[in-house]
Amino acid sequence: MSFDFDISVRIKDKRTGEIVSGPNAIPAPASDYDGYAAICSWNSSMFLDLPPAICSIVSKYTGKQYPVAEGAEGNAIINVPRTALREICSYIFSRCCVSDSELTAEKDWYWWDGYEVTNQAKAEELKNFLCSLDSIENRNEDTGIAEVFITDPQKRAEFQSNPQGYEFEFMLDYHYCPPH
Amino acid sequence: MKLKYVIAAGLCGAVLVMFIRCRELSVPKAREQMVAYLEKRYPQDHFRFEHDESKGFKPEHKFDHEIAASCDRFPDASIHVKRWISNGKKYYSDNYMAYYLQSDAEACMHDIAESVFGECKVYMSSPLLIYTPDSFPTDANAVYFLQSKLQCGFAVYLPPSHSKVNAAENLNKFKEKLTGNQFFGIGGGVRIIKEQDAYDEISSYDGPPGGIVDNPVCDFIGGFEV
Repeated sequence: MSFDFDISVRIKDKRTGEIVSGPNAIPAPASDYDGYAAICSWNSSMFLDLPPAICSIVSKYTGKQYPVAEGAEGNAIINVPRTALREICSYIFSRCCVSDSELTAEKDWYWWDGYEVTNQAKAEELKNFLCSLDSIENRNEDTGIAEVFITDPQKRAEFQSNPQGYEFEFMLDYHYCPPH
Repeated sequence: MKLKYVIAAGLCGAVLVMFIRCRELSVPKAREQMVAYLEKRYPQDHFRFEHDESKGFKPEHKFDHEIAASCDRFPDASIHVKRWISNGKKYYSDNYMAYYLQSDAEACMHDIAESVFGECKVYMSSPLLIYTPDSFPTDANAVYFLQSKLQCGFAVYLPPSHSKVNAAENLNKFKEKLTGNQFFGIGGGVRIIKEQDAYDEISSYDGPPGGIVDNPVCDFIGGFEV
């Protein structure tokens, strides 16, 4: 059994199309899936409810239906519009405090406690990333994105000198193989 | 010799106590400074500290503190202020302007959508995470807000009388009007609500309780991101 769900980003040089995020820079034209690095990720099947809910938010922006149902086996890679990220982040925060009506014999308060604490940490990671993006968009100043997402020292320095010269692309990466 | 060790240990202890004390004092001070920042920046409103929001900060983000506050003007809002320190200078950002301009921004977007699609309803997604920097003018209007690349989400709902014919063409016209108005950093989707009762019920971003996305009364026309 394995469950992985990531919200990932890649950073592209607007001028050259080169992908600068990840372990190595990738010259243009890069494939649709190269150079992504996780902003936040969930690796336990206790979070199976999150992917369909987050895909449903992405649907509001794209109109597409995604083949991600709760507990369904499979893999999916889904592009996410930048403007959807704030709503996704708000949703994850809403899962940091579940209502008593969700308590069951199998999922008691102890179970939900672990769920809420993890979601709080992930929501904070995403929110801090979004605030760092705001700093780039508002002031053209990097508040730490390069340090985390760009490995190549030269590319990192170039990014830090003019972060508005780069665009950001986002992706959901879903993988679930239930126990057989 | 022993005395040296005793003095050294004593000094280390004193430094440690001072460090912990400073940490204890710095958080209330940051709270005070951030509420004072809100009061000074938005003098027409009154703010009260609610709780700290900075649990998840990591060194790479360089934010030193964040609080949530309440205010008189928007009793249901959670006003957040975040602080970032660079070269000894403090920079703030907060989400007050998003609450302040939400209804005007919706009206502005509605006028543009109506000119293309006819009757419609337009709502903005949560302003909670739309932060503006301390350089953002406090007398800004909705047009300025929508031109500021703030990455806002919007939903456009059309009544059942709206024809799907020419929908794609209308969506392109809508996008052209947004960019023609220099609106950027705005995205969302346009939907026809197939039942009048369901359309009439919509009074917020997500429509009726339970949301609108998977609702069978809904027809997606297309997404927009400019």
